[in-house]
Amino acid sequence: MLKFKGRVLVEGIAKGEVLVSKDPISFLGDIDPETGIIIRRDSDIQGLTIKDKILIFPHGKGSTVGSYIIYRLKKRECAPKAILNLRSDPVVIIGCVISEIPLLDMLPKEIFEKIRTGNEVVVDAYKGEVIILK
Amino acid sequence: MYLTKEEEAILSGELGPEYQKAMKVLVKLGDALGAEKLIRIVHAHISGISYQNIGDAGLEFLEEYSKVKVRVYATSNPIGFDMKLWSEMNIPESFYRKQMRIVSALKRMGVEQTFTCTPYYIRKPSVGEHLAWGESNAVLYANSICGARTNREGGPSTVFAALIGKVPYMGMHVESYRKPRVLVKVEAPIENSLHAGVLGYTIGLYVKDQIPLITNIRRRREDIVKAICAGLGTSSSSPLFFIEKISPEISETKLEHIDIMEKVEIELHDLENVMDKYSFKANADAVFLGCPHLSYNEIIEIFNYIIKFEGTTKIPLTLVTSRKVFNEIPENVKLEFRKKNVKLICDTCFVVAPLKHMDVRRLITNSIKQAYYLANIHGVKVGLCKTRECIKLAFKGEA
Repeated sequence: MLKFKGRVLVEGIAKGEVLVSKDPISFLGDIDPETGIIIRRDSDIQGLTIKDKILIFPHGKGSTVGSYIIYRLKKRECAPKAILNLRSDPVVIIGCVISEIPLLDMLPKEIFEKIRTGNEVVVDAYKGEVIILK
Repeated sequence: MYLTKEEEAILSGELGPEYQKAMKVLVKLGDALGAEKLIRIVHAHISGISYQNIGDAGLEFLEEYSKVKVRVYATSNPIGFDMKLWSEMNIPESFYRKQMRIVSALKRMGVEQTFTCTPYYIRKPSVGEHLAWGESNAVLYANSICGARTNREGGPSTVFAALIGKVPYMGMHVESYRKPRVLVKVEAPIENSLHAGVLGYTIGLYVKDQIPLITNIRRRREDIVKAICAGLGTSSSSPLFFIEKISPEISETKLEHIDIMEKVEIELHDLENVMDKYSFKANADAVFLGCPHLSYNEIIEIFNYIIKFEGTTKIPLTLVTSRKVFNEIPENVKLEFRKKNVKLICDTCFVVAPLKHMDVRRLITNSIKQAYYLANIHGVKVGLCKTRECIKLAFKGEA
């Protein structure tokens, strides 16, 4: 059983399917706030949805309106179950805190090699652990 | 993070769930980014209040917190329309109602209804003051021109900071982080706000999130430094730059002790490369001046040029400012604008307005920031001209 350690930013527990974006994400512009579908044309996961996923991306970028977009997704029930970053920026941290989405950062870079889109994982954002189930 | 007894009490919910949540967010953010404590601020500037940008979720968020009051002086960024002229702006009624719910929520919280991206014309920050400002041009102006201290705050974080009256002590609040790393020598003549904005934008592309020291700018007029802030804030996430002979923190003696990692020269052709992308001038349907919002002096200067033209504008010319500056403009100036069909509006900006309803497709402006956002967010075709060329174009109807 493969396990990764990270830093807890927003507490909670989530279990679900992983969606990995190797690129940084700007919640304003990259994601349709009404559906959770990735709309940025040159994204490696364009057309997939972040709804109910464990969303993994290196770090946030772009507009500071992003926090409101995360919150808007949560209200529409289109938000991810948890977010995992290498380094979370204030926009993502604040978006997750106000939306109560479990958030871990400072995960090791290898996570991008060891976890693939479609894997099932458990995120324990009390202990700061990510466990790969399959 | 170290918390005082009062802060602990707020965190445990003694002042109610809204303040508790605000405190919880600030503590989380501070812990995450390595702040040792919270620090008191004197002014919060709340951004992200246009319904166009934040939608129903943002509206509901602000309404949730409108049960409680801000604990520090707070101003607000532009909204989606001019509060008095909204019906003339083709604003759909549904948009109007939602935007007004946001306005009411802010009012209940005790936020000043300034609706401007130039809070530094409402209350100019002093050297060393701690602030929590959203709005990129204002953040850069406060840090770089006033020598005050603010991070580049996002929409919700300015609300939390205003409610608590404090922010985590980190980033630009900490002296040791306020050091330039890139030396930028400007080898192009910067004579007007168009070129100043494009210069800021070009520098931002180079420095990304680093702090530049900008040298060799000969004209240091207010409209020039303001335009540099707006341009730099558009293309980078840098919260601060230093500009020789203007930034209060940079004295001759300090300059000798700076540890510069990188040097860049900006030449005229670098600016031209940016402006080439916004070169259209034919068949414009709108001319826009006022990004960032015009100062009193800028409006008077525009007025002095406009009175030279006979008749009325052939292409609608819109000047945008804050309500405060609008109220200070003499009546005879406003009358002359009306006679010449020059629209002087406040509270808003085309970037945060529901532009698809307003018949603006091909726009001429002097602001790279306006050009960038209108082209990217609203799909408008934008041409860049100097201020006087913009006015001439509006009156003559062609380039």
